[in-house]
Amino acid sequence: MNNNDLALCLEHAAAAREKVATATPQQVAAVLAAPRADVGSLAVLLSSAADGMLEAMAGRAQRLTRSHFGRTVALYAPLYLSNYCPGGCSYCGFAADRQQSRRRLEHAEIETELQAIHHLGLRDVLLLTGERCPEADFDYLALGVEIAARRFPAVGVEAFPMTEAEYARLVELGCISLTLYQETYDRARYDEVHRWGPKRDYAARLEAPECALRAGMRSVGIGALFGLADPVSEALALFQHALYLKRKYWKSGVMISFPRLCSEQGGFSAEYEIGDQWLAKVIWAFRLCLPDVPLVLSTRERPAFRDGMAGVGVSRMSVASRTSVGGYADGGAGGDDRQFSINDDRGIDEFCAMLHARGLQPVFKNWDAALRDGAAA
Amino acid sequence: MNIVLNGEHAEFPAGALLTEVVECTGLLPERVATIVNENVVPRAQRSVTELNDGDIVEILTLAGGG
Amino acid sequence: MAESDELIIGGHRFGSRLILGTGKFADTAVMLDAVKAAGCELVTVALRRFSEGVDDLCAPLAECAGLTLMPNTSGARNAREAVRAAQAGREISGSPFVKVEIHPNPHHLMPDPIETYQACCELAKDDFVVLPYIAADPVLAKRLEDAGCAAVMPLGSAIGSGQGLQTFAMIELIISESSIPVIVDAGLRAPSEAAAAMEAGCSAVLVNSAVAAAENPVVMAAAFAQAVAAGRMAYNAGLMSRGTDAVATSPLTAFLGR
Repeated sequence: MNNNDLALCLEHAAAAREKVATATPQQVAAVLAAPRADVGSLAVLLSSAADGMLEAMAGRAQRLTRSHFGRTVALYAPLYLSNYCPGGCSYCGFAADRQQSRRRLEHAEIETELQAIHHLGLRDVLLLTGERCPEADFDYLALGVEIAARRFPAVGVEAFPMTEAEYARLVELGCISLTLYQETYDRARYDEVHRWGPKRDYAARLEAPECALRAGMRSVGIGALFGLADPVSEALALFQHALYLKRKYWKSGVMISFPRLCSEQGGFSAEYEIGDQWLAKVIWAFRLCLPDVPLVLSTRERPAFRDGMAGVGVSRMSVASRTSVGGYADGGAGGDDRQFSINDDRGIDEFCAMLHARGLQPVFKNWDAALRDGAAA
Repeated sequence: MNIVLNGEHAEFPAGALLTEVVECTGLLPERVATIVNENVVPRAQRSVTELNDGDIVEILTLAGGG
Repeated sequence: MAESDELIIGGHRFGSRLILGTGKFADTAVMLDAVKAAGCELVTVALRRFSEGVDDLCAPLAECAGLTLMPNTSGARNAREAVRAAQAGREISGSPFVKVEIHPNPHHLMPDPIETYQACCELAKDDFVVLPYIAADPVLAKRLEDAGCAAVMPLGSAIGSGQGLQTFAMIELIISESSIPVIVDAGLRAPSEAAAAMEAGCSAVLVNSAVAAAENPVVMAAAFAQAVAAGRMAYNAGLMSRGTDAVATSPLTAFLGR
């Protein structure tokens, strides 16, 4: 099998889908005993035969998380730079056809927001925009990176697919990670929910993460927005995408996020209901098969779910998030102009106290550019 | 002229071709490799490779090895 | 498993996952019998100066049907010599396969990673099917994969030492990271060690001394063949759990409200 061909890797994911229906408890036990980084193992763990062994999966996930990441959880904060968007994603509160007040942060406001995040003690920030548009184009995002990199050792972006040269420029400016979710790996569903705009280009989006890695990005975060299409197929495809990136770009980091669709403004309802138990199982299955990959959980999730998953599979979490533009400085008073609603609105102290109570240390910074070639001043 | 063949001095007429040296071994030409002065000479080139005095020639065969 | 379980190296397919070295046998006849007994489809051979009294293996090996030759570069102490050996090996064997082995230290014969890497880069560009013999170093293995190698061959322990899979943990890591076949080469003594390597997910095993130096090389070759096949079968079947997973006293899934 040629693992260096992404299309082929995704075909293997589709082939593994059949295994999910026929897996037996014996197979689950065998995979639990010796999980492998292959899609066949994941398929077995995703089967309903594994439902009776969730506790064992969780235990194993916790031990693996502990041995690879220690008793720690890495924390980051998202910063929405702009909610202008020409995109037609039917599930998104920032889509172009939504009644939504639009704004972007100007230079001084970016400073103010970063100051507020910095004040919380956070040193890892993720800058977000909508799809590429005149109000929030590459130069605008690059400016945000430049400003953020002056104060934050870890700056990531979650924006629109770019050219390799653009990614290289962001790296130069101090960006160390790219987050870009495929949203759905299901081609037909992808075409359906991305009604217009640049995001209709499935292939460009699929190739963007590796384009960034070729440009020298230290790590990429990928994910599927669970709820859009058959979640089992999504998980298998996401896994293969991650494995492909990890093996081909073996000097780079790969992170995986597990966002699930929640109802937002505009009343989009998810095709597939994603329950807590199912999402937990997916995350644990990923941890078992990819023991050393950071798995990310955001404040989309409720406190009880986040607390239960912290250190049990999940190794990286956002905290004290504001998903409205300008939300940090105004204390989240921004109102309804959010991309999605936050279900965990605990402050950083409360969240860290929870981690400590669970024997976990919050990590604000575990990397800086001190030794990097051409390190920024 | 004198050449060094497989580490030992050997006498050949001036202008001898590599093919002639291979023939002396009695081995089938397709079952040996030839190296002249540290360069592998492909089979097809042997008949046009004229040797010079002092050339170092290696004629290799397959042997047991792990 | 619907798909056939062939070993594919650089696009070439093999039914057998046991690769034999052809050295250190009492004589050529025993070596050939061992190769046949093992059902081998790929063997590695060395290059030597022609001289009277040394068996030329070319003709006898050519008579073994279905056998692919993989000349090796043993004797080379640096990348230049290895490339020269590879080119010479291809001239004689007509095979694109080459086992790159460069061991400057004549005592322990540990491979030189830097020279090996340089030689592999050059040979891969020259359309060889390159299989480097390396220390069990996961980073080197990825660098060689990137350089275009068709497989990597980490050692279990020092050549001829019979110390078995001393590098097991590193080999497991190489397997989990690799997109190309991982073949354990060197150091094995017993068929059970070959089976263990295969159970862990190695694609093939290369042995020489363990067979050649056995009391009965031909029978030992057959034993290794069975061990390799059994290990592969076990890998495909999926091993059962080792011991039991203790369940936490306060359940980790309680928050799911089940």
